[in-house]
Amino acid sequence: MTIQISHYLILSALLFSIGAAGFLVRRNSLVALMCIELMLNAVNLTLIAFNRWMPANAGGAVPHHGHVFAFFVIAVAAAEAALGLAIVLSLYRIRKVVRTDDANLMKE
Amino acid sequence: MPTLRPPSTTLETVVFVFFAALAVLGAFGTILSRNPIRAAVGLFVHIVALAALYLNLGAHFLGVIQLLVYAGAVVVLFVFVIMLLGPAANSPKDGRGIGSRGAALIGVAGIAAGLISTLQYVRLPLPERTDSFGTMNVVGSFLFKQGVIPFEMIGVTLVIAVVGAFAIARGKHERRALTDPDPTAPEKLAEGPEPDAKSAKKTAAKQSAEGHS
Repeated sequence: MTIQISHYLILSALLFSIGAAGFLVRRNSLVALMCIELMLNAVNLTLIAFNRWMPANAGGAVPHHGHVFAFFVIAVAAAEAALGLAIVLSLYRIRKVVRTDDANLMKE
Repeated sequence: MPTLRPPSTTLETVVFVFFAALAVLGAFGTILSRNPIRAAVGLFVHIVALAALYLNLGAHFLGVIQLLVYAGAVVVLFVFVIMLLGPAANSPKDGRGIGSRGAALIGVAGIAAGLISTLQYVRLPLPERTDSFGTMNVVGSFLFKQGVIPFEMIGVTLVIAVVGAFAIARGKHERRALTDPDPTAPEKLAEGPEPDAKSAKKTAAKQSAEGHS
């Protein structure tokens, strides 16, 4: 059995769904941030798998668009993790909790 | 020209199955652990397994970047924050929102089932790749020729993120008043004599002005 692109796509869809389910179900903001990372990683896997199966263009140049896009996604994910954890720390400083249910400062 | 075909498709299949199972296990460990440290360990396993899958796909550079940035920086940052928060990082279990959580789970499961039932029919011919595919040399060359402006934009984004993280996480002392209604808080006591000092300064200034006139 050879590995087809569909196997990678199914794995990526599964990982994205696990991340989305965790993000919707868990109330701990740290775990919610980790679930965002899971979803971004699943997207990266899709991009790199499609890049492996992308044919060379007419000039014979091998494309690397998927790799570069995944690189940018990793950079944005790193920035998002830094900002998200800063917000969690700030929320903890104000409310002494990290539950997303208690992050309702703008509602009051 | 040497090509990137793996030594055998059997090896590729074995590597794929092993690390795909590891990635799924790590993801489940992340979302099911009650302890955030265990969730971080699950995320670490997931990231390392995905790096192996990237290598299996010929993306050497991205595999290294994945290990460096995610396993080396992001997971460590998560663990740092969990350690900093201490026991407060564990959110207590409660039964609130069971209905909405169940509805979310059913919706996500439906989306996953739809995606998987559709994606299993995707078939593409596997193109031949040279040995240089996905190495730092060619990806970097692509990045600095065709993607140089997005690359600079990513630099700006990271600088903004660092400055914003500093500004958010530094905190302000005034905000403590939201949770601390106690008027005998040290800040309040410290602020207490301040208005008097100001008014004293003002009266002194007035007196000196009157004296000059």
